[in-house]
Amino acid sequence: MRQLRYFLKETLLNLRGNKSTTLISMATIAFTMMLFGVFLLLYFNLDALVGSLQQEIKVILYLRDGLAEKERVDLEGKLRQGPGVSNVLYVSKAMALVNFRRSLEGQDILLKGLGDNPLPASFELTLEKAYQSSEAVQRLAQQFKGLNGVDDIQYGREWVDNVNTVLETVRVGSAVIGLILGLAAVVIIAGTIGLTVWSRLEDIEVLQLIGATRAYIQMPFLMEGALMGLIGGVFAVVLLRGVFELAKSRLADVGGFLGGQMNLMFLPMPWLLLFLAVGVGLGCTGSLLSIRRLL
Amino acid sequence: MIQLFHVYKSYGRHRAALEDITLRIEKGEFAWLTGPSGAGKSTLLKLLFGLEQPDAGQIVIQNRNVARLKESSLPQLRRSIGFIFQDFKLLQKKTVFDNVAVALQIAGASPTEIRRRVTEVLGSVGLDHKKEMLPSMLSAGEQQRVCVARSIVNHPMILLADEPTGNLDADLTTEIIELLKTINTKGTTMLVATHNREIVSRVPRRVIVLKEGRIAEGGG
Ligand SMILES: Nc1ncnc2c1ncn2[C@@H]1O[C@H](COP(=O)(O)OP(=O)(O)O)[C@@H](O)[C@H]1O
Ligand SMILES: [Mg+2]
Repeated sequence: MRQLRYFLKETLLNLRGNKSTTLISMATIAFTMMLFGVFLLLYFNLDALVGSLQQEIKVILYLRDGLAEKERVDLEGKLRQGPGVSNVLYVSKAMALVNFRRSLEGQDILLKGLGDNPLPASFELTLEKAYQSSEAVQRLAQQFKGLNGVDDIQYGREWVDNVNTVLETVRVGSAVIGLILGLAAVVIIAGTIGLTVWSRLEDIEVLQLIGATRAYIQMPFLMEGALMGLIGGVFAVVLLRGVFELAKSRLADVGGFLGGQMNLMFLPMPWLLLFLAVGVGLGCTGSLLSIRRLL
Repeated sequence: MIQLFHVYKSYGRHRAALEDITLRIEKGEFAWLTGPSGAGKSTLLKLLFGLEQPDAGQIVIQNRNVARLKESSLPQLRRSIGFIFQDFKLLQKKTVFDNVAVALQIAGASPTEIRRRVTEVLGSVGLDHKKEMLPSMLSAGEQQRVCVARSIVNHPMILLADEPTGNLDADLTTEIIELLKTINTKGTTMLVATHNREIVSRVPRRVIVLKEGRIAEGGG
């Protein structure tokens, strides 16, 4: 488009003409978007965490005591053939006790009153990827319950559900806060563009007098808003990266469950692009609001 | 070229600014629009240019009825008519060149086309050497010539001027009037409003006299 160069020139002129206001509002936009980005980051990493936890979902089938060898082999065959199970590990009563002893190392005293081996034999099932959601696990568990020889079933459902609840809260929270921050950004941009329009009212009148269309007159202001959103967004990403690195090093220091278990991830490219697009969208919305009111 | 039929215009509840104006201006004509201050000269030009709308009556310009144009049709009308303002209406932060170029830009002309035509028209108003200057660096006469250049750069068939010499001294007035005469000889229809009887008598052309919103002389 031929007039693009003209619009860009006008836009830059406007940005430079209101330097201090533009800078202040761009900084504010960068900061609000960064805050929003923190929530995105939180959500994104929690989501990844839940994903990795679900991969570790194991279903343990405890076997009835005194199960005959043949029955056990039958059951194992059924489990292997059934859908969703990728691996079956048999843990005998004796093996279970060994494992239990090992997990209580140094606290042997607790084992004193144990008497005869009370631990049941079990099958530890590893599930195929497609069956690792908490609903799928639940469904499988129901199926297994009916099998001959199965006494009890254990799986990490509650825990996964808890994390899912946290995730849902973060998701709703970031949506609400994002909405509020977005609204704030729109208002800030609208105000800034309003000032520019105000300072150029004389020129706008001249353009109207010589027959410029509305679109032609409005375009530089629209682009000004878009550019402010874009630049604010880029700065927000830079800030976000800083916050991210800081959080990562802190977590590494603290160690512990989160630090050890999870690898913090920054937003991947498509999310970053979406993030910038949101910035541009906010900018356009803000300036449209202002232009519609003033022109 | 320009026709008005029983046109009325009043501002709010004030006395009518124009009453029952019927007027016809031929293609290529040069007409003065004169009368005392407050007679309705500016109002008449504003109606032709779509800056105001008549309360009643019809206005036909180049076979198009412009009495009640939609807002979206106004840019088209204004691009087809040149208008010279008493206060020039220049873009203060733009060079002389850009001030003229913008009239072509809004119509979507190509950069080469713009360069060629702006250079040509600035030559014809004698401002070729000042094209990189800002309006504030120019004399009033030069600023008015920029305004004239902008109004004719896309070769409108009609040129309207509202007190084009109102802010100029005698010498510059003569200069601008000569420029308008030259433009008219190339075929542009011209309607020039002025309350200055002296310049009207110096350039004997058709004279339309308004008095208190009515045509006192030169109608038809
Ligand atoms: N925007 C306006 N609002 C109210 N009254 C106006 C306005 N413009 C002009 N008028 C009135 O209309 C009449 C004609 O004005 P105008 O066309 O400017 O006359 P002229 O150009 O001949 O001096 C005057 O009485 C003037 O006060
Ligand atoms: Mg007037």
